[in-house]
Amino acid sequence: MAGPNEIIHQSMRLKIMAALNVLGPGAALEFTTLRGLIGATDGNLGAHLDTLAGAGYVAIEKRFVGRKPQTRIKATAAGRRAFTEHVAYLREIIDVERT
Amino acid sequence: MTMEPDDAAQSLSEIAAVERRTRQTLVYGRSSVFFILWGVLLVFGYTFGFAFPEFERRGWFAVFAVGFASAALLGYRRPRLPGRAGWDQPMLFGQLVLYAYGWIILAIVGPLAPRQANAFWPNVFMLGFALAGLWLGRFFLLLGLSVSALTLIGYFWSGPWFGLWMAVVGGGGLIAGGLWLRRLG
Repeated sequence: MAGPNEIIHQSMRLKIMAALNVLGPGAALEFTTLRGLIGATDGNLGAHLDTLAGAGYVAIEKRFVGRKPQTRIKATAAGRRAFTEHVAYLREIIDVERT
Repeated sequence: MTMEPDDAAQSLSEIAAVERRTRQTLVYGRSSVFFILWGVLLVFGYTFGFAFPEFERRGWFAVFAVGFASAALLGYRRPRLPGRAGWDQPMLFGQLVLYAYGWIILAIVGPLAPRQANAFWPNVFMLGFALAGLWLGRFFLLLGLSVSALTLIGYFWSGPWFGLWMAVVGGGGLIAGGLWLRRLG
């Protein structure tokens, strides 16, 4: 059995990846929408996004819509793969317990 | 690092909850444009029917034609949601099915007076929203039930102002609902 992904394992980062993984490849969520979905504060979400971006699991895009700054986040291919593997690991733990 | 089965189950449960919320948010965001579209058209249809009662029937045919054509265009131009392929198509076809069933019911119960028709059609579509709300999110259920209740109130108690009442309650309700959904999604 492979081990857990040390980066995604953390609860808030797991939720971030779960939300982003629902989107199609290349699709992004706005920072405020993501914050609402996972119930994080601005600072908390920002810190965890930095960690995920550092690992290459998410891409953060900052742009202006009119005069309003907008931050959009999407999962990278590596991030999706890592999340899928971590979920498989979690399921494996439960399956092993049952058998 | 190893994990206990209880922790793994807890993590999977958190993932499932976030995925469910995310899908609901995406559906809310994508459906908002349909609500606003139909809201604007209903405001026009009811106001037009109130101002020109002799042309009301033709006005409604035009409203439905423009509405379905626009909804089809919107549905096909937008990228599909992952895991919910073709969401916009069921939404469009759902509207068409409700419209068809409205006519089936009318074929059985006979033609309605204009006031009855103005109360009947919103309730047909609100029934669809309320039912969709059982699967897609409580907002749809609440909106459907609220607009239906207000339609009934207007039908019985708004007197000669029923057309305008429906423009505000029916059309305005959908526009407000669509704007609220846009905030959520």
